Amino acid sequence: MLSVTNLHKYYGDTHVLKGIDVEVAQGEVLAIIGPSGSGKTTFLRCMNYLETPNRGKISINHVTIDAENTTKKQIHQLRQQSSMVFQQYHLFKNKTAIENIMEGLIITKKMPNRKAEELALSYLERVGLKERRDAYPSQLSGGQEQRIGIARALAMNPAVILFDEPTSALDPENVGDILAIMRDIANQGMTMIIVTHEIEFARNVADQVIFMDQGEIVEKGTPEEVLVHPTYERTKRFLRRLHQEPDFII
Amino acid sequence: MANIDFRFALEQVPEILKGVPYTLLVTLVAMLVGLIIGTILAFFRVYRTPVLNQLAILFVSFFRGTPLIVQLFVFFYGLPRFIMYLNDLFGWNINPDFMSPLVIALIAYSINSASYLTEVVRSAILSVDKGQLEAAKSVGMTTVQAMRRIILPQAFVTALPNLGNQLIILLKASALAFTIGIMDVLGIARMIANDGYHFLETYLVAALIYWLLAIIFEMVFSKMEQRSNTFKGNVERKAKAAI
Ligand SMILES: Nc1ncnc2c1ncn2[C@@H]1O[C@H](COP(=O)(O)OP(=O)(O)OP(=O)(O)O)[C@@H](O)[C@H]1O
Ligand SMILES: [Mg+2]
Repeated sequence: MLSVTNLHKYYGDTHVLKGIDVEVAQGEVLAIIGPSGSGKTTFLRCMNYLETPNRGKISINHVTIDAENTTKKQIHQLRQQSSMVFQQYHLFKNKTAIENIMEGLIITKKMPNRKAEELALSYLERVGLKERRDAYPSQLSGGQEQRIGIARALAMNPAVILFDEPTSALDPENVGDILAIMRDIANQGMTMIIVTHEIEFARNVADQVIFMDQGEIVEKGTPEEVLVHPTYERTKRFLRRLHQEPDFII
Repeated sequence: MANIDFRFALEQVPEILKGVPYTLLVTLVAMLVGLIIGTILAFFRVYRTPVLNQLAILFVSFFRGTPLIVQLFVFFYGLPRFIMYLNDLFGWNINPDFMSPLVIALIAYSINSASYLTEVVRSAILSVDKGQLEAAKSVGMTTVQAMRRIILPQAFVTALPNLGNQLIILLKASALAFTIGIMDVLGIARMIANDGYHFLETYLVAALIYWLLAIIFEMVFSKMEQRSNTFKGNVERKAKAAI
């Protein structure tokens, strides 16, 4: 359903992605872990061309794009296959909660206003924020903002949802809520790629885990294989350090 | 100073008020047209469009770097000749007289305010968080759609205080239009003052009228800023959270 072959990305002379290969089946959840600066965000952003890769192939749901030879139309088509949930939420600040969800439906999917509103309302309900429909992002808590962010991504009905550390900007007490919603979405069969530091969550929800370091995939396998019995020293060291860290820093 | 003729001053008010529509016309047209041109040029600047970006820089530099009154004179004497030149060049038959002083003033003030507003709009666009554009693209919007629906509305709110300042500067600058014969507030005041030798009284009335207009503009803008605070509050809250 989703496959990435030999993906390369340079920032100037820095080689940030050094030939990434990934396969994700329909309904599968892929978790990506790795130290800061390893290229996780860059990889996700390449998947919907917020960042332009230099080499490699990306294929989602019958839309295939070759980085060395793309058209605007292809990029537009590829982008419609995925939705993104951002670490910093990035809700449209000039739109209310419900308008945030309706925006893509009206503009991209050309849905009539009434229908978009109905649909948006059902997604608001799904993330438990129906009564906050007319609040602006500035009037919402971080956890609420991220729930709207997830609803916005879901409403586009994409083939895959890309999550970039969706809980790392949140207060600890809000993390659980968001993870629960994500688990819910996974259980309903949504294909997801999740960059996360929540190892427990990855273990319970992911079908496949990738450990990235310095722009390469070091280790790939089931959560059991990568998170519990890792083969490589680099993975072991990363996991050990993660366990030593307190949940949050005061 | 001791004997201001208040009665004379009062009697002149209705006459001087007749200049208000011209003062407002020049100010508001310059603001609106300047904002449209300024927004277009701001895009050339933000996206560094080859050639157009450089031309925009040149345009801004020239019109911010020369006195408005000199620009007025250049347009006043230059525009009719420019029309005649075009007539010669293309064999057209446009009557250069349609370039009345009022039309010339509107053009000159619009272009002058565009040069200031280009920078105002440019910095406002740049102040919008990059994540907003990315989020818009991630739900499938094109850059143009994202600009129109997400970025520009937010930039406009950021720019509101500067736009308000610009409007008041324009209002005051519009008084220079009398130099090319516009009968705006100052134009009429000058005429009355010269006729009746009551310089102080008439100019005091003119000053009060300008002041009143400025107060009205300020009130309108502070209302607009209040209304837009709902989503501007975001920036402040995030800043507080970071401390
Ligand atoms: N716009 C950019 N210009 C230049 N270098 C960049 C840019 N964005 C990222 N990089 C570099 O690319 C590398 C990978 O960055 P990336 O953000 O993908 O890492 P990450 O794995 O997401 O890290 P983190 O866990 O801190 O989010 C880093 O070395 C970073 O400095
Ligand atoms: Mg990252």
